Amino acid sequence: MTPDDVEARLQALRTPMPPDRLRERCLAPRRRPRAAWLALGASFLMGGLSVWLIAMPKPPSRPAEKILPPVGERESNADDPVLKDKADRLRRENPGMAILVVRVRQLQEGQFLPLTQGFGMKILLEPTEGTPDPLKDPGGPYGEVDLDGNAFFVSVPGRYRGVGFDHVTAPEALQDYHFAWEYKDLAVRAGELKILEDAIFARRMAWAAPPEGGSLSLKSDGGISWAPYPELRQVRIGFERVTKHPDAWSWEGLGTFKGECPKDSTIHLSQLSTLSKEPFRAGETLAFNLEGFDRDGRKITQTKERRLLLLRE
Amino acid sequence: MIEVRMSAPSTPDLGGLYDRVGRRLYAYALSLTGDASRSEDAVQDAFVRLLKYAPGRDVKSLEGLLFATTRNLILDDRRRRDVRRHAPALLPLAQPSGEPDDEASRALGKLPEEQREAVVLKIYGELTFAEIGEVTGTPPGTAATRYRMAIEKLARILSRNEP
Repeated sequence: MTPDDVEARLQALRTPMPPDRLRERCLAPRRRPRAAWLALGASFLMGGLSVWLIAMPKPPSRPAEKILPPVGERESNADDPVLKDKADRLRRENPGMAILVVRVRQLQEGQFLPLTQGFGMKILLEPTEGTPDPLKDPGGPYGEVDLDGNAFFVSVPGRYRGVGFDHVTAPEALQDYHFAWEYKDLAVRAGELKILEDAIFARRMAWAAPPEGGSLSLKSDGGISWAPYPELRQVRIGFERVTKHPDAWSWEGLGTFKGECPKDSTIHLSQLSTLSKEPFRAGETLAFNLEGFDRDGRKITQTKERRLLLLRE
Repeated sequence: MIEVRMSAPSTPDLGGLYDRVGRRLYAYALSLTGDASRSEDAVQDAFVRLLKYAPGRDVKSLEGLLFATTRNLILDDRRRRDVRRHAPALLPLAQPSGEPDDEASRALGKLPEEQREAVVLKIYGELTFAEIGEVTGTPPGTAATRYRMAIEKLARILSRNEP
């Protein structure tokens, strides 16, 4: 058999068809929990279920305001005896390592309450030395929330670039919530306890009018509105010009509005046009992106989707 | 600044991309893992990363990026699981009639991994040698050499099996 015969034979052969579900998985891609974490989760679930059957689940051992103080009081939280005890134990069990803490809270009826179960997250960190490879998983520690609403991570000391987070698991009831965690660069020493930014679950903002695919009148200064969200103090509205080409879409950022949340939860074209780098024109399509912030300027939530609207005279 | 997002941002485009590359990518993943479940996971994760990294980037070939990402994910997974030696993954091959060609599949499995990879990427991935080089991090000439050596070795293996 000659090499040409081999090539012809191989070219005539077929590889297996992927299962249909793979297409669905790829078209609605969400990071999946690693199989190992699933197995670990399942074992914890079984263990947890057994414990629960013996003793009813207890509420957080301390009131929420003690566990999750406002940002300004974060340093004092490092003296929290329960948190300190747990951090000390982790340090003893992991000599030479650093301990990172993320407080996890959910925004419910105007209050930030600790999320005490069902949450896990991997922090993605890259050493500051060397050039990052965007195609490689930077890796990082994984932690799960405890009954006080704190997730602990054991990290190798060093200086890191914050790259993001991964493998976020959340209770079923919060699946549709927006998850926000601001990751930052990090420098930790051996044995150090470092409290990072809070992780926040909050219900999403929702567009009200016009509906998707609707239009805004330039002449009557049309406005785009969203459902009231009393906990928010500021909003940021990004707007882009969307143009369809034969084989692609182009998105051109025109500007961003950031300011106090309007009382009527509506922003008008005239408020945006002054911020736009180019004048609005009838017939073009704009995409709007809406985010909400609390009084401390922390991003809390956003809409699930951008809204595309047509501008008319 | 105008940012042109080819194929990546919307579901219809993603669907078109999957339809073009899904089967080829899955075959490549299978040839590396020999495991359908791990292959599915790797392909899905590659699409997740495509959405994350491709918009706004100068991506010459989204298909090439998907192949490269799938490869990196599988190699990372091996490292995570501390798999230093692994049995050669058999890529199931079949005639157009559906009849399995186990002989060709086994012959492919006997090749060194980098040669097998070159064959799978060239014939079943439908990539050029330049693209194979980008996926595997080697010069195009090296990719072509590996492919030629693989084909010659396959010819010897399959000739021995001839009646």
